[in-house]
Amino acid sequence: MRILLAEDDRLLGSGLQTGLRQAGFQVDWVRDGQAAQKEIEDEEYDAVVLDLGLPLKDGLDVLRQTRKRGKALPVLVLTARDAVAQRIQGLDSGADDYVIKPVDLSELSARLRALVRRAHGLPVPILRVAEVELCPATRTVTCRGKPVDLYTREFDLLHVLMLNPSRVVTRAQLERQLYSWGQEIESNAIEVHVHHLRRKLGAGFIQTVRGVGYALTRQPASSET
Amino acid sequence: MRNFVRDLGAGSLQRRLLIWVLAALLAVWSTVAVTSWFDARQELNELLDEHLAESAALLVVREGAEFDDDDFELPEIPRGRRPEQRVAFQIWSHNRLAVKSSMAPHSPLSSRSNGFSTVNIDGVRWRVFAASGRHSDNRILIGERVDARDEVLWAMTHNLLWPLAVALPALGALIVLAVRTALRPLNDLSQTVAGREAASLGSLPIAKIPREVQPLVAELNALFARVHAVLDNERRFTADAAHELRTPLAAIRAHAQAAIGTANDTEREHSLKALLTGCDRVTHLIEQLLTLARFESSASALSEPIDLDDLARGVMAELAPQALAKRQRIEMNSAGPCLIQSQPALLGVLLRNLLDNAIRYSPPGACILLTLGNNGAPSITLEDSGPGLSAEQQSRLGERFFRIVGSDESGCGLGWSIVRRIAQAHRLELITRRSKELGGLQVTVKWPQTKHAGAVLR
Repeated sequence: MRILLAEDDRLLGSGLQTGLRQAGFQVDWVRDGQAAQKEIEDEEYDAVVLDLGLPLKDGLDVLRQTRKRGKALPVLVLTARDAVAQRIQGLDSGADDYVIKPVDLSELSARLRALVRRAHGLPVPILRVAEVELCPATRTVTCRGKPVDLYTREFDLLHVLMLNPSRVVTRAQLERQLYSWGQEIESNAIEVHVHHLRRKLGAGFIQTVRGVGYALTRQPASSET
Repeated sequence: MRNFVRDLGAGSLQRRLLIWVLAALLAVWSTVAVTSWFDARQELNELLDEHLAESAALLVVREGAEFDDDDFELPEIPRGRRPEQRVAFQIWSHNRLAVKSSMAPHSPLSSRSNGFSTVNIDGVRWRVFAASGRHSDNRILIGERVDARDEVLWAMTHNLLWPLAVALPALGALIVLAVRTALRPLNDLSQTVAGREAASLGSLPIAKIPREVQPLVAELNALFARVHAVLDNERRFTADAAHELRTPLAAIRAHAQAAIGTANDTEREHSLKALLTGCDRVTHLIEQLLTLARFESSASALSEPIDLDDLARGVMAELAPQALAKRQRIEMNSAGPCLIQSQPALLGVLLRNLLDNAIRYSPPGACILLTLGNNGAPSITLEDSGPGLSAEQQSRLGERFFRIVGSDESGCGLGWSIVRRIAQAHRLELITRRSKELGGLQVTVKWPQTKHAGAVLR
């Protein structure tokens, strides 16, 4: 999952970036409100962690403008402004969650996973398509009840596909969600990961829609074995 | 005595008022009673003396009639309540007692031949009037017992005093009631104040309060307002400080968890270093907060003669390593010793904060220059070749926790608050502008010209 982190404090920003990466998120970090606004509009993120006291543009303004443009992107406000009135203002300005500093990294990760899950309209924490189950919290996958070992990228790719079970996900979308800035993307990287996933989960589970992208098969892949 | 009087009224205004009013009442009343008694006695004596004289005149008229007996019975007189006879007379002829009333003694009532006298015969005091009879040899003496007179006087006094004696307590009670009623607004006020919570510092209602007490209440209200402002300020400061601690603490927590969560040694080391940086930041913030807090109690510390040149050099030496680590050039221009009367510790804090800011917010390789001036009044100018501050930013310096936006430095935004407060307490002038020579921020600390505050010792 790709997260945008907007935090002006260098020390806190680097800590959160490191910690969230360890939890399996792709984290892009900006240090002012204008950059945050630009990233939200130009890039595709699964969620935003937004500090309110940002230079150049206040976090609340970023939030309001994002909502005004109709973006449904989950936003978690992470701030030192702890008064009840401020929390209400934050939530009413369009925040999906409001967290007071300091926050436990595991809790922050869990909240982000929940936000992403809800944004996709999924009430259960474990994603299930056909006979494949994916648990974002533990980053584990099982196929017909048996655990499957996946590399980070493979897991992330499968996660994106399973969050959108009834949609075709384009290759560009997958690339944008799997890689944060500055990471080299080889031209056939997605194909390679899909290839590995098919080998581990059965060939029929991920279908290629030629010229568009990939989609998941919702029927049990019993014919494969 | 004076102490006693003061103690009497020390506690309550009401008691004081009551004691004084009742004492005054009693004093006036006693004086009036005593004077009236003397007056009444005088009047009574004059009246009875007149009666004696008239009676004597009557006897003189009757003298011609025969006195059959030695003992002359006075005609029966209705005596009212007094049973005993109180008047007696004697008529002496040729020094022989011719006639006397039954009550009269045998010896002459008076030795005088004319006029009034008071005599003592056999233990009984008499008021006697003597007159000559028709015959020059005759002497008429008529006397009245003094104790009878006194009896009349006491009866009169009694009649006069008892209504007053009854009236006095009644009057006292009424005064107590009046004083209580008059002082009720004060009691109500004190009860309102007594019932207040420590935190409720709103104004007391002034409308229902007696005019005499209104200035006091107005002053109280003003005091409440001042205390409220101070408390508010402190509360905001505490809240701000707690708020400012959240971010570095969040950073410390994030890095600590990242260090625990990683299997990569380089990454762990990086996180641990960041953890230390975070701790340093919190420490710095707390130190600055404590400096501000301590400043309150040490503001009245004794000042002593100090050499500004010496002090500035000391601060420069202390912070030089910080500047050198950033490869900054740090210089001092001074014309020599400059003695002033001040508090070295606080002045050191002021200089340290200014220099620390210059080093912190100037880029690596920058130039920092401290100039000690003594042109009429001493001054210290600190300038750097850093980015400087806009006019708007300069005006916001000294606001608590104000930090320059976009700056990478981890200052806590309290340095200038401290500088401003110390400058204020020492009546120093702070001037900020863009440095002409170096292009960055220039701060000048100027001592006042007056000898009184600056006290330049050469």
